[in-house]
Amino acid sequence: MNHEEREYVAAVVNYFWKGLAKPHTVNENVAKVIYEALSEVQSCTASIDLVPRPTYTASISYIVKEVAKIGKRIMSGDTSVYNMCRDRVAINYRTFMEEALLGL
Amino acid sequence: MKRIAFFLFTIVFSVFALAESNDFKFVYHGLNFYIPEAPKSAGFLGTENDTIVIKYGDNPGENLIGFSAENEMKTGGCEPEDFFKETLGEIKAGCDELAVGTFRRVFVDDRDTGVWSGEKYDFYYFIGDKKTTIFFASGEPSTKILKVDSNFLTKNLMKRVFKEYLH
Repeated sequence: MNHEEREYVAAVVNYFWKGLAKPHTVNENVAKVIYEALSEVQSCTASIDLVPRPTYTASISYIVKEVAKIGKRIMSGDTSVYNMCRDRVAINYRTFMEEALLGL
Repeated sequence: MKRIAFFLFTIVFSVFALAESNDFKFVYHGLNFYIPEAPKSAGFLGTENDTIVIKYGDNPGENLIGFSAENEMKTGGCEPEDFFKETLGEIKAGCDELAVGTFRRVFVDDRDTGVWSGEKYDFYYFIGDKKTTIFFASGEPSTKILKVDSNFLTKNLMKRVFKEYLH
């Protein structure tokens, strides 16, 4: 990994955990853990934001209402779902990221 | 530096407290936990979450246990205990829907979940194939959330970590 790549990976780590990584502490295991965390955020966001929640067969009026709510959030630039998913995933991965940064 | 010294003292002190079983007594935030003996390494980055990583494997990312304080965890306007109970579907406490939904997505879906109840503490477990996470509320005078996670302990071994508080 070159210096520029280390800087970028550190930026992503610090997006999850402010100030946690420095470029010189980044290694391949750090990149691996952050990649997993990012994938989980995407999956969380998609499932919460884009899929209607009830397990029973939803009525068309419910679906329209839910999709309209999502559209309203998207149009207003509301990133609360993404941010909340990121915070949850940050809790799930913090131990593993700190271990990776320690080089253990 | 003071924190690191305290951590090292805790580890060293705990080794001497070991004698009566094969577990390693580990003191964290004033509470006693029992983890498998003979870890290969331990580390503390000195971050505000007080995360301590204890490692039993040789390879990167292998066989870890972590202890941390989740000071910033969002509980949707509810007390931590009520929040965890709502995520498990035990009660309807009226916590923020997004806070509950995202927590469920990350920690509840596809995991074996439940509560180990003790006299003083309830330990909320979320056991997955790759990761196991335990949350509990602790601390006086103010409530704080502590977390223990691992990528190798079985359900029984994880429960054993809290044996002092589960009778």
